[in-house]
Parts: sequence; structure tokens; C-alpha cells
Amino acid sequence: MKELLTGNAAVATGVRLCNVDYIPAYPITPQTEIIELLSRWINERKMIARFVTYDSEHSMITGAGAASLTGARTFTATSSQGLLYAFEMLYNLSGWRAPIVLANVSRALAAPITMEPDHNDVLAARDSGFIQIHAETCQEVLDSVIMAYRIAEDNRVRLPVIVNLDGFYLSYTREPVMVPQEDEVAKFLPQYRPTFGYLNASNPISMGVSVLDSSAYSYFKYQIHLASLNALRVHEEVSSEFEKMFGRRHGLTDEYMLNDADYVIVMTNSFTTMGKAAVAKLREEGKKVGILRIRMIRPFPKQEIAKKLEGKKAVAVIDQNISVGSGGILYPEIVSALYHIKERPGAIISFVGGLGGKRISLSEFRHIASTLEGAMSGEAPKVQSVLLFTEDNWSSVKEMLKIAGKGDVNG
Amino acid sequence: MITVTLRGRGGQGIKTGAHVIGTAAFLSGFYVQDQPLYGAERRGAPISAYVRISRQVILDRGQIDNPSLVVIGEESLMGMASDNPPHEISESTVILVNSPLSKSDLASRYNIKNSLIVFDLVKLSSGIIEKPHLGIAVAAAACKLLGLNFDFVKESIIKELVNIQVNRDEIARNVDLASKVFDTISPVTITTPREAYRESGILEPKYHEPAISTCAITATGNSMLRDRAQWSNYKPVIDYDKCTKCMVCYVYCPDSAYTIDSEGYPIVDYDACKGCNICKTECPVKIITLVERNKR
Ligand code: SF4
Ligand code: SF4
Repeated sequence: MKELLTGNAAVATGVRLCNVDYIPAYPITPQTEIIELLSRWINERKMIARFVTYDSEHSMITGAGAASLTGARTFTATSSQGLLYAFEMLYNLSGWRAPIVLANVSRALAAPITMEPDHNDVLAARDSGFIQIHAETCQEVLDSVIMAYRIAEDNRVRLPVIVNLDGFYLSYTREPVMVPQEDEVAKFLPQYRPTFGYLNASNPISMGVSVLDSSAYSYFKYQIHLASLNALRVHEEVSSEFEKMFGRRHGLTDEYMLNDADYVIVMTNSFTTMGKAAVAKLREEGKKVGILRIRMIRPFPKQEIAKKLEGKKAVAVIDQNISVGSGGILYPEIVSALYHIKERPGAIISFVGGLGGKRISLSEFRHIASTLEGAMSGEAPKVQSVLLFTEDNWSSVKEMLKIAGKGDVNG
Repeated sequence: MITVTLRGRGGQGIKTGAHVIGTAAFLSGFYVQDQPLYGAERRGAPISAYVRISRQVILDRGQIDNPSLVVIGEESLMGMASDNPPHEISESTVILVNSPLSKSDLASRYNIKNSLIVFDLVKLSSGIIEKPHLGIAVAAAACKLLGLNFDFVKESIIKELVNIQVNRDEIARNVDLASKVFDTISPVTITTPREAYRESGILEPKYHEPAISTCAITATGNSMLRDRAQWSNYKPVIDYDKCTKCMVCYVYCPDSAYTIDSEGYPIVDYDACKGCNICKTECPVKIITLVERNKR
């Protein structure tokens, strides 16, 4: 059935369909609607699961990991500062190989404080061992939750998964979403029956043990890395099965007018929708631009990215994040994915945009397209990431600075 | 694509209003996207919500810059300079306002040249419902302007109000009110506005010294620039004959709206008061009443 669902409701609906057993919860805007919905459904008996409120995100993630290791299918959700507060436990969960699904509703990090999205929260967790799937639409959010459990619980992976959705632009935005049938989801995602490493009173084991031998540490840590890399293949299998069953395909990457494009803009998450509209406009003006959206961020699908971008004239990477002191976070990863291919794009240029949820205007997309063209006609591109920020943006900031008591500031 | 912006105040049901329009259009077979923008997340503070309606998949997100239709919940929200975010409109934007004033009065007061539709919720709701749901009423009016069928509007209202756990009697009354609003509004042409696009060059911010570039406010008293008196629908009134000067209200007020006069009596600064009701609840001798604010 097709319904109008917010991104948050899409997450909750996915969780309900996945027959989750345990939900540790702690509220934070713009995620709270997810746990509110789940607790309501449990209360109304629309869903059978155990819902527990914790005293912080740190305990919440710890509880999620512990529950998962008893063999319970576990879901939890957070955002922004909440994810950071839980940070050390993220690494523990992947080390315990606890296959939970965590919805992160992206919200830019303080200070200054804001409610709107960028990806410095979720990308801070990129080295944690969590698989990361980043969604563009509410439909994809729901589908990704279902796919996430299949990937997480697969013995070739057995790692926790983050499904990321943008605050406001998805979390509170309603869109038509096809809600799959319960029995079909049950067929696609059988009950979770772990075959090893779970806590059971009659079969005691020690989890999270210390290894004072460094070669043992190297071994176990590298196993997590190999498990993560396996997720690339497992994702492809799961994705094909999902398509067969539900008729929708979600790959490692997604593309828009990419095939015959000379110039490609690489993006992630919900702002890609605005990028598509801009590309359609630029095409009308005769510019052969396309979009590559990276959906799976961890493991990073280097080969697929290389295949999609090989032979293109020039590539722009829009990072909706900033690694302070370096620039866009994904840019160097994409450059390294392209370095050894034969027909490497003539220029790969880094843009940072959409920080704190600032919309990327058509002007800014135009600027990206002309920068790519310029780079091909010999203009030397900037070494540093270019901030997507306009004269209009500056005049509104200037106005605010004045009200804040900083006088007339020159740009 | 047709775009609608709704403007109201936290607590008036503007988000539900956007959902009612969205669901009605969705039931009518359109692609829909709707979204509230909470702003200060506080009762009485200005809030916006957006609806996009299209025959094709919608390739846009977030704030709407140049809507086909602006729906304004109460007159105090017209022309508010400190509104966040400011809504740019073009000459083709149709404006729908809930106000007891006449169309010509409003047009001249705010210098509006656009197509303007006015309805008076207080008048329309009398005899039907005591506390009308503003969001539902404005949504019904907007749906009429958008040319949607009332059957879908009704289905949508019921769906959305059940969703926020409103009881059956109140849903029925709101549906009655909606049908009355729907019938009073005469349709006008709503168009896809000319593109809101304006070219604005890329500008790389320069480094500024910390006194400027640290996110801190050095000016004092700038909250006066915001008309906060409008953020509240009620205000506390003290019966001074019975006041014991215990100062409990003064201590509990979360917004420090109270001062104590030279005789020791509490005085409320109504510009700072948000009408939260805490002083009324805490007053040990129960002599504070909340009265409705007179707003346009
Ligand atoms: S109503 Fe609330 S804000 Fe107003 S004076 Fe009383 S306690 Fe203060
Ligand atoms: S709490 Fe009541 S009695 Fe005490 S000072 Fe305030 S108004 Fe007077």
C-alpha cells in the first residue's frame, strides 16, 4: 500500500515490519518521532517488542549491543550529539560483532547548535566498523532498514549497520512510500537465529575480552575490516533479492543522467534530489552533466565508483561535511578510488556545501558545472575545497552579525 | 508543480493543516511532499509548513521560496520582518488569510497587490465548534482554492485528526466547520509561479578575527527586536487585592517576566511573558487568571 510517510515514520514502519525484539531508546531532535511511533505501536499492540528508555545514548548503545548478543533483533535510533555521546561504544559493538540496526537522523554538530542536517555526525563514525547506508528518499529509508538486517545478520558480515537519513529534509518530510506486505518482509527476512557468539545461560561465553597480545588484536581488528568488505558482495545479493521481491532496486550507488555525461557531480543523501533537478536544468542548457550518488559509505564501494567515473571528463565531489583543517571527507576517498584507473577524469574538484542544512541553489550547481568546464580548458582548479556559499548567503549572515553586535563586517 | 506555504504559530495546528492539504492531494492522485519547519519550537512562535503537489515525481526539497499559494493563520503574521525564514512571494502568489477584516482593509493596510482571499474563522465557527482547529480550517480553504474534491478533503481531515488522537466528536465538528469554510471560499486560479531562481555569485568568506567569527552575541537587549508579545495567546492577570506578595510567581517564571515593585507586588512584563501558565499553577492562593490576549 502506498502511504504518505515522513522519513521518521518510514524508519519506524521498517522496524515494525522487521519484527524487531528490542528497542533501547533515548530522545533527540530530529529523531524522537521514530521512538515515539514505535512506543505507541507497542502500546497499541500493533507490534510486539520490548521498549526501554535509557539514561543516555552511551548506555542506550551499550544496551543495544548486549541485547543483540542475547540473540534479540535490536533497533535503536539517534542523531548528532547523541551519536557522538555514544561514540566509544560504537567501536565496541562492531568488535562484539553485534548486528543491530541504528537509524541516524543527520543533524549538524554543535557549536554553533542547529537542528538541520549535514553529515559530520554520521561520518565521524566512519571508522567505527558500522556498515553505513545513506538514503535519499523516504522510500529508500524504509527499504534500507529491511535490507540492513539482512546484511547485518549475514554470517559473512555480522556487523552493526547505520541507516542514515537527513534531519528535516527527510525526517519530517512526508512523501509517497510503498509499504511492503508483512508476510513478504517475513519471507525476505527470516527470524534472527544466531548460530554462534550469543549469550545464553546454559552455554556461558565471555564477550568483549581483552587481548594483551598485539598480534591477536591485529587479527581480530582485521577480521572486522574483512567482514565489512564482504558487505559489498552481500549487499549486491540482498539488493537483487529485494528487487525480485519488491520491485525496487537500491545499489551501492545510484545515478542520474550519468551514462552519457561528460561531467559528474558526486553527492550523497537527500540533497541529491536537488542536484537532480539542477542537472535536469543544466541539461536543458546543453551541459552534459550527470549525478553519481554514493549510497553505501562503509564499506566504501571503490571499484563501483571507479567503474562509474572512468572516462568522464571531470568530476565534482560535494561533501556535505567538513573535516576541519582538511576539507571534504569523501573527496580524498574518491580520488584514491580513481587514481589507478586507465581513463582517469581530467579533474576531480572538491566542494563543501549544505553545511548545517543550507540548501544548495541552482546558482551553486551552475558554478560547479562551469568550474568543471573551466578545469578542462586549462584553468587550474583550487587545491582546497571550495565552499558553496553565495553573495546572498553572505548578506544574510552580515545582517545577523550586525544584530549580534559585531558592527558592519566586510566580506 | 503547485506549491503552498502555510504560516501560523506553534500550537495552532499548522503542521496538521499542511498534512491535511498533502493527504487530500495525495488521495486525489498527485505526487505530494509536505514538511513543517519548526523554527523556535515553541507555542506561539511563528512556524511554517510547506506542501508541494505535482503530477510528476517531485525533484525538490526543503523550504519553498516562491509559493503558488500562501496561507496565513492570523493577521499578526503578515509582514513580520523578523519571521524566520522570510517568505518571498511573487505577484502571481495567491494569499489566503484568516482575519475578521475586510479584503480591502487588509490590502491597504499591508499594501498587497496580489490576489487576496479572506475568511473569518471566528465568524464561521460560531455555532459549530467552540475551539476551532485553525489548521483544519485553513487547510479546507486552501484545498478549495487548489480545486480538490471535498470528499478527499473530508477523508484527509479524519485521517490526520485520528492520527493525532483527536476524539470523534471533535473530528465531526471540525469536518462540519471545514465543509462550511470550503463552501464559503470562491475559487481563483492558482498557477505555477515563475521560477524563484535568482543568480547569486559564489563568495568565499574571508577569515575574520575571533571577536567577529566566534558564534557569540555581544549586543545586549536585542530580543526586544522580536515582537514576542505575539508568541503567546494568553496572559496572566493578578488579583492584587488578594495577593500576599509571597513572590512564588516571580521565582517560578521561566522567562523572568516578573519584577517586584517598590511595595513588593509582582508585575508582569507582558512582552516577555509566553503565557506558559506556570505562575498561575504555582501561585499558592490561586489568584492569577489567564486571559486571552487581544490580537489582530
Ligand atoms: S505565564 Fe509563564 S511566562 Fe508568563 S508570567 Fe506566568 S510563568 Fe512567566
Ligand atoms: S504567587 Fe500569587 S500570591 Fe504570591 S506574589 Fe505571586 S500572585 Fe501574589
